[in-house]
Amino acid sequence: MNQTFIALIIFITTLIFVSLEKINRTVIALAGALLLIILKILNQHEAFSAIDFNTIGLLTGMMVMISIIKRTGLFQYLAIKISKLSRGNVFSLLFFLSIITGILSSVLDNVTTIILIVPITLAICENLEISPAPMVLSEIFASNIGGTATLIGDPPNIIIGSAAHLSFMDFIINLAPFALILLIILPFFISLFYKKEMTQNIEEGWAKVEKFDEKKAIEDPLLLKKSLIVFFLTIFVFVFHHNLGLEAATVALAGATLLLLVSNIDPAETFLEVEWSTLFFFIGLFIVVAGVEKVGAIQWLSNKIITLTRGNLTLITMAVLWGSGISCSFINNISYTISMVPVIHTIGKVTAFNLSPIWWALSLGACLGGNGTFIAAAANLVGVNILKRQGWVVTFKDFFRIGFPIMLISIILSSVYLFLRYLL
Amino acid sequence: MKIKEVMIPDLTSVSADTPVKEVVKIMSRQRMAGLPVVDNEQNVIGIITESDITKACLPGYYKELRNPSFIPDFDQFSKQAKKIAHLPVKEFMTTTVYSVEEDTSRTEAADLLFRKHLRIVPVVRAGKLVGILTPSCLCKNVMEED
Repeated sequence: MNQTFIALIIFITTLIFVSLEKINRTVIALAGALLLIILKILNQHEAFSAIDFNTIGLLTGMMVMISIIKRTGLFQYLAIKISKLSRGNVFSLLFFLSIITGILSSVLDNVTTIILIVPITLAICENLEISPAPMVLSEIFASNIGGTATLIGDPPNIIIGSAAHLSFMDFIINLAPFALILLIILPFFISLFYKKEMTQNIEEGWAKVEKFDEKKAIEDPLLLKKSLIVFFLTIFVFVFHHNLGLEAATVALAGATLLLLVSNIDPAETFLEVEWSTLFFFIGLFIVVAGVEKVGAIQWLSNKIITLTRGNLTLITMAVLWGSGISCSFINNISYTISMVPVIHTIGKVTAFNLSPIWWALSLGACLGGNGTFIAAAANLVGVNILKRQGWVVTFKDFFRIGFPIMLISIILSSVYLFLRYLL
Repeated sequence: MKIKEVMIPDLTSVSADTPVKEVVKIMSRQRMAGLPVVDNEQNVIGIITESDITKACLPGYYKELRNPSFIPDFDQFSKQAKKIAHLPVKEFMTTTVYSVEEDTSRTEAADLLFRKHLRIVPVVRAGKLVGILTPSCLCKNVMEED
């Protein structure tokens, strides 16, 4: 059997099993990677060189920082404080909870955001005696939209930023304003599906919610002060990291190390909260994709895209955007993005295009595609499972009925945005 | 010495449909931290503990919150307790049961109690309940022997 065929089989099998989630995705990615080495499609040196340590370092640094900041209770404090702005109106509550989720998700990973926000939402809704399902669904969608806004908001952006040498500010300038628009539209769209729920009278329960004491959510005020200083310092350095000649991973790891230093928290304890499984999933995927790249499959796919789009930048950008949005509604967006990076690099080499619109198309498609179905993103499953534990069942169909149109609308709006801003 | 010589040969147990309120009464009367749940043939099908019931008396969202101290006391505990009082114990019991055979050694049983943080272990003969083992009855037996 020739090597191209074997590499393709390993790649496709890995993608399928990662998306099916019947077997742990990290085990699948590592198995695929090791098979490529054992079958001599890649040697160990080539495999290890394929790992993007800038991505791994950025993820690790952010995981360490967030695991420490989480202990302070800051995120719960913010969620309660912002919810109170709604002054007893269900739609306003939906609006503010979605906005704070989106904003938090632009600096936290989506799963962490959902784990922090949804329980607060449950507490509020239980006291208001209303169904938490519309709020939680809106938060799930908002977390995927918010993640699109920054370099550190969602893994596809971390991968794209590292591969395309796009800075923190590049993402803020090019994606954040558009993500904010989507975030503002989202609650209005959700309210169309839950018209009856939006008009409920919650005056009686609201008196209880107003008694929630957000100050008590702060668990460690001293750690909070230290964390905020280090966090904002890190964001400040992120803003200038390219001018300073620093890679994003250096900034994140420096922030994490500084926070460990000033917080005096045992690193062993913090490292237990680092998602090693996710990091090794990335490592496995980088190697699997390097395998198909080496045998020429990526080159072939890139040429095919160029031929089909007749080498037209607008068509390539739209193909990447829509292909990514639809694909990432069903398959894991991390494996998709890692696979697409070399494809786009190759398109760049062949056509000598300015690749910016294509990178933004990949980011928008991969991140927003996460809203398409509840299997599309880990945050979706986590949110739906928390609801289920409380007796509110959201089926695949329930999620699809709202999530897929949200994905489609956000991709249509992204098409308009990309066209007007970069392709006109 | 085997566990059958140490155990409490008391067959106090409840069925899966016993209301929680009744279970709490029995626990309180017998001063037990937990009770085995058995079927008609005395096979152990679950364990219900004080901790399971206390947990069930808190609103669901408390379990999801990292720190619920920001929520004032709206009598959530008593409201939820009243809500579950008449529900069958099967809804709250633990179905993964660690049990020991009656001829298990004391060391092996102590190791199980410690490793799994158990406060009550059913003692069985061919799967059927014959007694109860608790950390205190095990330790008392060992410390009082000549």
